[in-house]
Amino acid sequence: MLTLTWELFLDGLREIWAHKFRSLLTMTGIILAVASVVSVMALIEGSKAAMREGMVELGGVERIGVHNDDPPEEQSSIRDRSPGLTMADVHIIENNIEGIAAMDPELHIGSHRIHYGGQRPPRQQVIGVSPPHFPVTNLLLAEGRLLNNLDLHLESRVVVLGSAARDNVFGIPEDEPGLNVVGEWILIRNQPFKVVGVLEQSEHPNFRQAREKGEIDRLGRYTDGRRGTMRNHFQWRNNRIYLPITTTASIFRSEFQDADEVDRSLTFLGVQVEDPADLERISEQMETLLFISHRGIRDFRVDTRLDWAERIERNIRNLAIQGFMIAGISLVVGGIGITNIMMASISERIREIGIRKSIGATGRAIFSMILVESTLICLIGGLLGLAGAFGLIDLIANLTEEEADPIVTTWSLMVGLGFAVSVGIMAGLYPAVKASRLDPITALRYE
Amino acid sequence: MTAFLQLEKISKVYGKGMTEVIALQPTDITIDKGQMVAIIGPSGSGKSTLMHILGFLDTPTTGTIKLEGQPISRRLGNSLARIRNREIGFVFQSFNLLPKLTILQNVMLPLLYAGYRSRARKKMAMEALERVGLGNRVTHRPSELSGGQCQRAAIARALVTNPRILLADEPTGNLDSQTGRSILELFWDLHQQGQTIVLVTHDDLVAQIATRRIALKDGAVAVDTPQTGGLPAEWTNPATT
Ligand SMILES: Nc1ncnc2c1ncn2[C@@H]1O[C@H](COP(=O)(O)OP(=O)(O)OP(=O)(O)O)[C@@H](O)[C@H]1O
Ligand SMILES: [Mg+2]
Repeated sequence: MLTLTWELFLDGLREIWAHKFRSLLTMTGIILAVASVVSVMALIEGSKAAMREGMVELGGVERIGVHNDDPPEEQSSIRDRSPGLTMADVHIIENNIEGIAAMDPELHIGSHRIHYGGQRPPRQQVIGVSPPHFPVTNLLLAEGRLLNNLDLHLESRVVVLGSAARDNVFGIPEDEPGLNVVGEWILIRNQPFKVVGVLEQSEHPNFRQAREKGEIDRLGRYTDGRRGTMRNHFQWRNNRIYLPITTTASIFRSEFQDADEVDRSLTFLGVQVEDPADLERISEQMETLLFISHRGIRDFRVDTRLDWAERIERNIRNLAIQGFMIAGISLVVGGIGITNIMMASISERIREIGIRKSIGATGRAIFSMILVESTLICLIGGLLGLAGAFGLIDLIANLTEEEADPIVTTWSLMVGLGFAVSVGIMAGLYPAVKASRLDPITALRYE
Repeated sequence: MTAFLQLEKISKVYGKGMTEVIALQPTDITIDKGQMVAIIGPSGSGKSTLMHILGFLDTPTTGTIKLEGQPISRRLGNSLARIRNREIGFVFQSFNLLPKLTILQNVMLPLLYAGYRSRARKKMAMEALERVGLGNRVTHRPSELSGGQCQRAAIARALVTNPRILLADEPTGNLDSQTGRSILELFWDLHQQGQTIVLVTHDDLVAQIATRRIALKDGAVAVDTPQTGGLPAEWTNPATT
């Protein structure tokens, strides 16, 4: 149907150039649409990448989590038959399932005032863990030592501090240089514990990048004198105080008058697997074992990081769909605008079309001429849109600087241009058919 | 002489019923190779209609046209465009050059539709422009040329594909008499070189030049006679354009 030549292309450009302003106005819809398509894709890509990075930072996908959950309605009256998630489950899983790298049980006991000296005691999250918790969740040691198996065994009164917990309890080191907190004693709910280690600050990739570029200091304060601080999305990890899980249970869970044995229930159980390919098998086996140990009561939920990632990706996708809807609407509106302007352009050029036909232009040649022109308008609009996209992305990145940095992929540029060109073709079809069917005599007589 | 174009019982009716206009009564006309035919008649007599049918721009209501003995169907669409492109050259009263293109680009345009490559297009267009005496103004746009120069460019465009017949509808109608003369001299030269020409005019002086005269009246052929033709003797000093 289409005969494409270099001349058609030049003709089209000449025609667009002859009506520069009109063409530009016509293009705005396409420009906006392409810019938003590319920006939305860049935002999605950025969020996905940030999510992936974040996940790796928190221990990767090779992790299955077991949460306490409300049992289904019909089991709620018999839920006390289940012992709940306990250390016993840790041993059952560890001893019965192949391919497990580490067990990482957690016991959360909420936040408590931490006393040290006479200062105003800050509130910090206190959590009981076992030694593998630090390596599998990527927590690194800065000073002293981490918790060890002996601590667990002896139920030692020792703690490891997150960096922010350390800052809150003892003051930031920048203000009190030379203070060595390892070896100091602190009080948690009036129970004395000895600080044996301090962790390195855990940083979200965005935060770390900004710090490494020198835009912020360790505490997130902007170095260029701007007010406020950048948020570190992993700060919750730094605010924790880590105790041996056994100590936590025996001291904080078993202090009641009617306690006759230590309450070994858990808040959460992380299971690190050796090979991500085994995730499904292991999570299913875990379900089965837990079902038995919980006496058939579904008061737990087994979650892989993949489920988690999927959930987040689904949310991102939903946001993206909204973005694409807006872009789609501007594309359609832009397309209608182009059809409209091409129709106007044809009625202005009826005589020209008649002349071209009188010297031998076929209907097909006229068809191609109009179609190439509308496609070119959209192509140029698309290219301007791509340029606009970079501006828009910059703007968005500046407005939401804490969030994930948008990532522009070649693919998104191609999608943007592809949309523009398809709109150009669709918008040009009807005018092109109309122009190609003009009767040369009528067109020639037209003044 | 061999028949180049044969019109057999060609008629053209515009509109229907109450608004019906018979532009052309059933007419038989044969145009031979090398002829220079003048079609003359008062306004509204159907001259342009006849010329458009001769040039395959318009399709007749009845009758058949034969091109070198071959009947040409009226429903050929693209091949009519091809015939217009290769076999016919049109010259119009109002030049009908494309204002956005240069003279050279205008003359090259039929060759583009004929599928010539860029270099050949340029060479052939330059030759045609030389032939009409316009080899030096090729990069100008029509608005920058005089009427006579525009008409020469239009003739160059009509000639560039080496058409077998040149159809001109009032080619001097928009020109002053001096300029008109020079265009007619050009037509006569072309005729001398063997070009088949059909010239539509309502001006008897213009019609004098042709070697055959067809007079139309109310859409019918009133007179069809051969004549001596040639440029009038008093046009001795060549007119300037
Ligand atoms: N599209 C049309 N619809 C209706 N009638 C038409 C149409 N085109 C031409 N006519 C009529 O056909 C008749 C012949 O028209 P034509 O243009 O052939 O005359 P002409 O001899 O070329 O006149 P002129 O010397 O003024 O150019 C006229 O009566 C005209 O009104
Ligand atoms: Mg006429």
